[in-house]
Amino acid sequence: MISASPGLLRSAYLLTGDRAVAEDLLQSALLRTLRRWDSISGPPGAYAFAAVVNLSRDRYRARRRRPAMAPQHHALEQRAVDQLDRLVERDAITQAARSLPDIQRQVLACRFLLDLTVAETANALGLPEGTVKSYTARALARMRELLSADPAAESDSSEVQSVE
Amino acid sequence: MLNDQELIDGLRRELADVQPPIDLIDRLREHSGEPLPVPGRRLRVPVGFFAAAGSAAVAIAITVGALVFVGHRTPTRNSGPDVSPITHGTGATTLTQLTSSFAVLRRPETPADRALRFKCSHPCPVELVPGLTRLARTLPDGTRVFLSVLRARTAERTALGNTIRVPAGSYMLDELVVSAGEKAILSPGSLAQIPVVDGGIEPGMPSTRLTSGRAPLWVGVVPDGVSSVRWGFSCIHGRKTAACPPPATITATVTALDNVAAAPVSATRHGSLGVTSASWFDAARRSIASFSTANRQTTMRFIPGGLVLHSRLTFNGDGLGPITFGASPAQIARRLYPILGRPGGTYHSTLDACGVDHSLTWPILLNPSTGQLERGEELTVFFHRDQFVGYQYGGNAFHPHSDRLQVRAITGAGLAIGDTLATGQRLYRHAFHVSTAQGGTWQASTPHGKLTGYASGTSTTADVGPSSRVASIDAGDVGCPVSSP
Repeated sequence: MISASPGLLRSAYLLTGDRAVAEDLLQSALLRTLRRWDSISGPPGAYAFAAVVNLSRDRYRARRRRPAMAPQHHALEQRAVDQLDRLVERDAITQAARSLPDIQRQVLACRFLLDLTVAETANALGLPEGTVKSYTARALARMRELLSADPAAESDSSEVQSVE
Repeated sequence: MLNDQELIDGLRRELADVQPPIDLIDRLREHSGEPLPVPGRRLRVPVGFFAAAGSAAVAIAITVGALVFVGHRTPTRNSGPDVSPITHGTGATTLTQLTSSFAVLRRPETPADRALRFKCSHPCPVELVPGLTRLARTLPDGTRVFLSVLRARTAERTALGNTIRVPAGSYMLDELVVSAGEKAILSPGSLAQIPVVDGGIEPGMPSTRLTSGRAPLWVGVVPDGVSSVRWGFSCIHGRKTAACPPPATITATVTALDNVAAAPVSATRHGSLGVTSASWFDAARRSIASFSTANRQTTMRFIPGGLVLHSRLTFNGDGLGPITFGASPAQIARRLYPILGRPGGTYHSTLDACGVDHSLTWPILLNPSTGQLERGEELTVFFHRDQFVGYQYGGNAFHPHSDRLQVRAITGAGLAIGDTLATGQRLYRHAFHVSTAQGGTWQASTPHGKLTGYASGTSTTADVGPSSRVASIDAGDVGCPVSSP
């Protein structure tokens, strides 16, 4: 379970887009998993991922019921944005993935961050295997479209290619 | 245009630095007793999800099972200092676990501590954590025992020909024994640098330092709460030879001070007697843990938060734990030592006012949130004419999560720093009173005397209320502060 934690955290980050929230979700999900340990018969990592998905949904619903947080002071916000510019540029593929529909992000997380097989992903998400495959293909195609349309991402992608 | 594999690799690479906090398991452990965020709701997991279970899952179950079930114990009240510090597993040891388990690491650094030099050739598999080396003991013959905290840079390292599996980022406590007149140089990979806590070759076992013409010195590192150790020595490989005449098995009982047990054992001089067992005992001579070479492990780790639950100090209206007012400074130091380690300073005079003229202070320097060392809460014990007359716990700082400190310090009824005043009301009922005096104070009358303290969040008197928190716990004479709220 400990070894699965990084993949789970990255999946949670992909679903929420917020590192701190992702850590909270991971902690809660692992806690749930540990408490149900005796009754889990499948891969614990997949169980924990299902908990992450459920918790992220709960959080989304809860946020809709709450008033929005007060905005930060503009100057502080701008400075923070400036400092983050470079990070954002490097984050192009993740941002593209973040723009996908929830279910496609979940499929990507299972397949490529948790390294689950198609069958395990299908079991974890309650989908037919064929649907998992099609969601995967659609997600990758959509990400490719988004990255092609973004000049900043294009330069990033050329860097990726050169590294590869 | 990126192909699929490049997209996947790029996604993995961008998210590679998203790593769970190293103390995640600690936090899980700490929260394991709390209710779930959404009580009573079923986890929505598809039925088909529980299909396949592989050998990997079994291995994971064993590891996590060890963490959760071996590590989880319910604290018992008023049972005196108790520890259950280690178990075997494969997780990383955090800095918090080390600093919370070894009082010597929590005391302020001194110039003598800085005498140790760290030398490690590139690429060094470990790094020395700054500010966390301590000269733990200086033995009568001038031998010095240093304890240093190291952090593993790579996932495993080699010492004494054994590959020790240590997760990258894991912290470990190393001992360095330096003879009188020698320079203290910690060089990973050298004979003196034996990992004694994490990745231990022989968990709980002492290491030896052969000295010509004298009995071999045996040194073991023990966590807080261990007052003595008993080491068993037997003929190496179980063979009784001319070099290992009867009695082929001997035991040595050694007092532990400042997290170190050290003693020369003359019977092992010929080098044919090796240590085969070790037992740890608390101040009441109760056995805490035992180790044997028969079940040695290649890795070991601390039970997360184990000492938080087991090392306890009870605040009473008439004293601290078993120590009642009237005790001498020596008695106080001796009884509190197994729980808190050495005091942070000497027995020093204070302003002779309000029935107090001397004090002893135990600084508790661990920031429970970050695991970093910094000045935080402290316990000050007050004396008048060499008699224990009062104490104050909490000092100037307030931590909302003070129960993560290394000592679970609570009143006899269960009130701790950080608890709300509403909790105090529930525990003491009509004997609990709150006042706005001095910015907010509380008071509890018990059959053994009166407990008092400050309340937090009281910048204005209007802030004092059920949600205010206990910021300090005092009893007896503590100078001229809270006693009359």
